[in-house]
Amino acid sequence: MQRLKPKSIPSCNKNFIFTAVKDDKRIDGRSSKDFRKLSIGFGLDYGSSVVSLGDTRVMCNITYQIAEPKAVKSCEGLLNIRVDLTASMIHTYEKVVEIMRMIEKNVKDSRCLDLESLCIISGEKVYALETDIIVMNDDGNLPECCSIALLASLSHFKRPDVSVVEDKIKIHSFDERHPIPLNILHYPFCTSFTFFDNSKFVCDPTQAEEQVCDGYLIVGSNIYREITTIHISGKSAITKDVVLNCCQLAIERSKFLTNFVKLVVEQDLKKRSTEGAEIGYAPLIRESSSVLCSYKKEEIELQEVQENYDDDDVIIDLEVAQNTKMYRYASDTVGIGEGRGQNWDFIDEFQENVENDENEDMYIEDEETTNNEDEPDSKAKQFSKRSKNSNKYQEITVEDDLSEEEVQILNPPEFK
Amino acid sequence: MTDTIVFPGFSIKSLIDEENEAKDKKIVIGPGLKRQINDVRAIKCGILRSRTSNNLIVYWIDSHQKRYVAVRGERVIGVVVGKGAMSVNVDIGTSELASLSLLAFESATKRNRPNIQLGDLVYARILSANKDMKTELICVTSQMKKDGLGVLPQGGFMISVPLRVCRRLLSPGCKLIEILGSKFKYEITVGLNGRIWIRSPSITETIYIVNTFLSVEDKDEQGMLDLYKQITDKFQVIVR
Repeated sequence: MQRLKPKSIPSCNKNFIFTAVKDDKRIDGRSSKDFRKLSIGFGLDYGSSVVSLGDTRVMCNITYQIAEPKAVKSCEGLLNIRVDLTASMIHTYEKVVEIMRMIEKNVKDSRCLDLESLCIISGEKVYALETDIIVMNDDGNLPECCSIALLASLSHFKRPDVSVVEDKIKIHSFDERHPIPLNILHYPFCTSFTFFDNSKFVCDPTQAEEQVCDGYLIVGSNIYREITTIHISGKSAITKDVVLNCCQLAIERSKFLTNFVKLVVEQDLKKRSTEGAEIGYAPLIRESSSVLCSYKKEEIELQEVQENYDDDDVIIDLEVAQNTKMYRYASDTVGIGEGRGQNWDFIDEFQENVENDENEDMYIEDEETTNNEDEPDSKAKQFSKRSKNSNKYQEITVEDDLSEEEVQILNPPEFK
Repeated sequence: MTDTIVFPGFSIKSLIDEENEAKDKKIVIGPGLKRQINDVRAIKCGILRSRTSNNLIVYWIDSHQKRYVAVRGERVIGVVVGKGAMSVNVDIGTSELASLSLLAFESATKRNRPNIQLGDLVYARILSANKDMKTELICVTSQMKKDGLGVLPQGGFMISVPLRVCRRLLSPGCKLIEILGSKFKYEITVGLNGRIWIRSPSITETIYIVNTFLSVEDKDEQGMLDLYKQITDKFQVIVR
């Protein structure tokens, strides 16, 4: 089998991702704990689904046949999981096996599927389910995307009813008897986290982040706060707290995913029962839905500025742009970054500031500072302001020193 | 006939004949089309486009393509992936690596070699593109001047986009680079191999600019105008 050549990563991208992660920023505009947009579509047959998580797209199909059970587990059905990763070009063979085992282990070893209900005649005839997961596009976070596809397919799949009359099996067609859904006891979803230096981590990594990361952690968990799988790889030094933190996030994520998968499956089955409704992939393409067509990226907000006019103080709430220098030109206009003013000497000064960014006292040291009562000592949010050239502009810095751990534990993120 | 959607194997000879009778011009067949003995067929799906100049008419197929095929004379961005004694191997997005001689830089001699590290980005011109031979790159013009070519500075971020996005950004009608330039201070290099390198002073600005360029692909003419307007409206600067 000929494999495609992996994408080579320039060192500037690696440096950029590492520096951006320190500021809790990512190239697609997410913060480190945001997930990408998830959408699920179902095909004409039961058990066929396509899941897209950002640009990662995975298809899963389930077929069945009637086979003889294993001798040791004579009254259990069989579940075979195959992952086809040939479309993904970045992984080595070892990595492919690792991901495949991960997905398989998470579902099989957690015994989320009631295999005993797939038995027809003990020791002789059972249902053997074959699940084929096909990776259509890899943009990172394959374990999560594959596990969503697998569980969405399993919960969507329906098998035909059988009746046993004198050791003879009769399989009833879907017209004859209602098809029977599988018994799923819980939904174990994998979630991956990627580590960068100083145990900074990001959720739902993209391919670029996976390629440059120090190490990664995959956590499988379900809605009952049970960890079904945990897998750490790479060369990063991770502390216990970080792992616990990740597990916490994974549990929150799987709660969201469980509800999401149940909802879309229910919607699709409802659609099937109504007359004249279009099902399958064809209408999804026609509507250019984000499942099969390229998804519309949400517009990146450069900054969020809220102004408060109380006694000429400007309060700036920076969601995305933390630690960014802003220049206030008028009461309602705030500029960000360079290239704004016409004043070239100020740009030179600005660049000096960028170079000594570590030095917190730099604004105080400037000679023309009018309000120097702000001492950047306290650990809370600080606004060091400076007005120069008779209120032509004011420069405002915001430094957010809230410790990461506190934020994570107190406010579990809302998943989008 | 132009702007028809064609599929691979679709014969477009009749379409060309129809239009060409009146004009009686020389026909040039561009990317995506292949001439068979007496026929012209499309070899990929896309939209058939044509452009008429003085006495010739050019046909090509406009399609979504990510894989770059080297063409002599085009300027591309490559990633250095291997270093040899006299040349470096550069990944320019083609199926095989290209080679860039270390002497093909401005004022480079055997002793005075340019400083190239693995993972660096180079902006280079394709000297020769042949299907049987390794693609050769060069970082000087025929006058041995660098003319913007060479190793790109440290920092910044490189994105990969479909090929037509790069062609669109470089086309004279596209004002996106200028409009962003009037609002932000940034450096940009666009290679025809679907790679764009952007550097700006702050991370937030880089992220915004990168995502603006990534959103160009599925925009039509009106969408681009809306984008320009959106950028100009959003970042108004009043200098007093």
